Amino acid sequence: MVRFPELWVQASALSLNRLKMDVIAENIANADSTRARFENGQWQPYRRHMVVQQAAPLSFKDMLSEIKDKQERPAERSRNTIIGVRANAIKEDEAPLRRVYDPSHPDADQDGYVLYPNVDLPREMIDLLSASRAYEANVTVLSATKAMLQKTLEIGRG
Amino acid sequence: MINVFYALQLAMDGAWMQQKAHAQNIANVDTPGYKRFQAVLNDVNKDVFVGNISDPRHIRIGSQGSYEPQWQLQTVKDTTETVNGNNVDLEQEMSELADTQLAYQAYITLMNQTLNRYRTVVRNGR
Repeated sequence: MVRFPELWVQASALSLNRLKMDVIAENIANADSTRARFENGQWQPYRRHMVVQQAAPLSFKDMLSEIKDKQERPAERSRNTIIGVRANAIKEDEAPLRRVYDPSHPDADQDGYVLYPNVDLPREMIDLLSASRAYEANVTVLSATKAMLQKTLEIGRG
Repeated sequence: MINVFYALQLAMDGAWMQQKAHAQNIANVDTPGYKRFQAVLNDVNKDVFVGNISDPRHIRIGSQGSYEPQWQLQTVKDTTETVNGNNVDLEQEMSELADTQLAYQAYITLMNQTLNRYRTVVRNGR
């Protein structure tokens, strides 16, 4: 049961940003992993993972009324459903892998090149910063909403 | 006569709606293609033809007397966006959030003071 759906908006955002930070941690930890999957008798290096996020209504009721509104009044800009955020998928980055010349490496090919993951450390650090900032902002909003709800209970107390 | 409770209720509804808008906008600060919401006072009935009533026996025409303003969330699509089509400005949202909070607290205080005045009257000044 959801008593205050307004709090769940922030809950969804907090768990999404936590997930993003987890995925970034995984990327950084595996920045040099040359053996992630065994395919066709050969080791494939790790590929950068990324979170695909989407704005989405939080409850089934809101989802239904969202669809209904879109069908009945497609031009209408106003709505009364509460929209949170959710992770749609964790995708692998298809960007080319790093090729490093290192003939003594056990995973080197015939020419002496080793394929390393396409993880870019500076980029991961920037994404990490941005996710943690978003997390903090959502914590602030959560406590603000909570303070408002508590203040409401003071009506009539004198 | 303006009912002070009704006026305060409408103001508090508005502040709460604004809070909802900020909550959603900040939750979606990094979502590609997301457009920010803002709370607006629904005024669909404002310009509707209204019959003039010069005698209490007249039948009401139009929305007079039944007009109930309501707060609603509306998407804003005409402000600057970042490359991923998102137009949420985190700093602006956070400042407006603080503003909304203070306004809401002010409304609650006013509500309590009004209730206290009524209480004084009901208790005959004691």
